[in-house]
Amino acid sequence: MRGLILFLALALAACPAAAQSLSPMRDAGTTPSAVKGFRLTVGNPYKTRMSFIVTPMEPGFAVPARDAAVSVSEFRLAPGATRPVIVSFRIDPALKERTIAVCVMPKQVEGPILPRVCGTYTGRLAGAGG
Amino acid sequence: MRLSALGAVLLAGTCAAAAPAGACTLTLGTGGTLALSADGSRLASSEAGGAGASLTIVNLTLGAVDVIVSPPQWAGYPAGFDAGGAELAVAYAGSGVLGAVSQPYTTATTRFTVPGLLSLAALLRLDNRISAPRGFASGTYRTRTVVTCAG
Repeated sequence: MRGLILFLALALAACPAAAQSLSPMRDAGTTPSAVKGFRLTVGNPYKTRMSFIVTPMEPGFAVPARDAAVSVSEFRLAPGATRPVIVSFRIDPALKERTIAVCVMPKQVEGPILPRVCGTYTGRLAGAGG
Repeated sequence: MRLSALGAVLLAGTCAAAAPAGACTLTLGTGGTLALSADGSRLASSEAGGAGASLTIVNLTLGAVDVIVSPPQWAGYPAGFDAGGAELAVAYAGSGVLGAVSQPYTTATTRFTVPGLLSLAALLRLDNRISAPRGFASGTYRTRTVVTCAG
């Protein structure tokens, strides 16, 4: 085994192989119904056309959120382009408030790093106080 | 049994990064290369002949954001290798305004804070390591670390 070289050649791009942005990173608001929605902007500020996946997650960014949806969960963006997505989620009337996360990541990424950008968004039932 | 190959030296990208206001942007720079340790028990980008990966972080939000670095997971290994007996670890170090960020190899999830309205990109160098006391089978090994910019 002497001289054996095991290696891992990963992404070899001089320009970014993957990048994404999410705005805003935090937001909060009330809703008169049991569903709250937020309008978020996903951007591709770089010079490569890329596909992204947008996923509603529970806080902690590890588990997909239940009773939550993103209007467009997968799309391609031209270089420099942004597009809005709408995330909506149900709030348990007994809890009156709910926070979820929304994570954006490249659909296909080569290399040892999977970059994610995750924001957190809180909805409150109108008239619930606080 | 011999497997040899060339690892590429990877250069940081210089493409423009015009992040929208209020956004956190993560950009992959260079990939990485794992190299075998002299005693054959570790594959790591920090070994001689290896190269770490890099990531650029731009935080244009008003407040600070957390960057969460998860322990590496397997993305691939050759048949016959005892992955269950191996340990994956990640280390990283920042530069520029993140110069104080330095994490030795760890198997745990770690995090650090990036100040708000950071107009200059902060660069993070990231190393992965596979420790396998029983050695490695010939083949290609891949690890993946999830790096999350969390608002």
